[in-house]
Amino acid sequence: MPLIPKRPIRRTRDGRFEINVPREEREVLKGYLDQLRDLLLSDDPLLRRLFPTAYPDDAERDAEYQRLMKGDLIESRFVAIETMEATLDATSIDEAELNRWMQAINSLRLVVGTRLDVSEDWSEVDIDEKDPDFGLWVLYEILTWLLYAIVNALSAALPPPTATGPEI
Amino acid sequence: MSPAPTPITASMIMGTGASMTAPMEVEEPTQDTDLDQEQPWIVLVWNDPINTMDYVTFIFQKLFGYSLEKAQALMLDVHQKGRAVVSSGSREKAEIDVFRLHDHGLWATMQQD
Repeated sequence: MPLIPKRPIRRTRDGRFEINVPREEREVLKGYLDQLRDLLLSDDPLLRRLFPTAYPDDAERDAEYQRLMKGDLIESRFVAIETMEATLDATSIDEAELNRWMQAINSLRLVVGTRLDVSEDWSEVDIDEKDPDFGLWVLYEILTWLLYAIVNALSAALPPPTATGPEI
Repeated sequence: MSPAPTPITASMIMGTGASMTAPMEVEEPTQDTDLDQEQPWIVLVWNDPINTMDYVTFIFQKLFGYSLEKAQALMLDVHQKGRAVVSSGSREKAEIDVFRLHDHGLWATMQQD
């Protein structure tokens, strides 16, 4: 990997987020966001992690869930992609926009990870330049790096807890 | 960097044998649904090899308002035991929770407790 900033996303005092992502990485992302949009219009099995089964015990209810919700799940990804494209060259974005970046990046990462059949103990040292999928591995690494930075930045902006949650 | 974009579409992955193990056969569908009308629904999140641990933790905090400690404990449960109950309630509430988890790319399902 060439030199990339350790903290590409930084929360500023005004509650916004400073983006410090090199132009090359932004260009890479732009191309793949386009591909993701096209893919979302297909029924490619690579999308399976974006539209999981809701009712594994009840095919009828699941069909109903998919009928009612799948359109919204697709539309939500379109909004995320559009938001990220519209702000891809920005140096500063607000929290709602950064949440959309996170959604677009995670959606793309799920599709690429599925395509690469990523395993749980994946590590960047496994990337091999001779691999025909080298470009996708590099993309996967960029997405992982950015997602980590976004989650970090947004975590610091979370409101105090409001629920205790289920017993474990 | 900036290699030529590799197409991520279809064809190439077919038949690679997805690593995802489906939760489809965990329990038999219950036959006596009339008796279960009052039973609460639970929302489960299943382990997957792609979503990162810190992302899953953050999503539990963001969607449910859980503390960092609770969200991390649930995430670790998903990671180590393969699944965790992350919320419960009426069918309507459970379905909304499942939808919001799906919207954030988590592998969530729901069933009656």
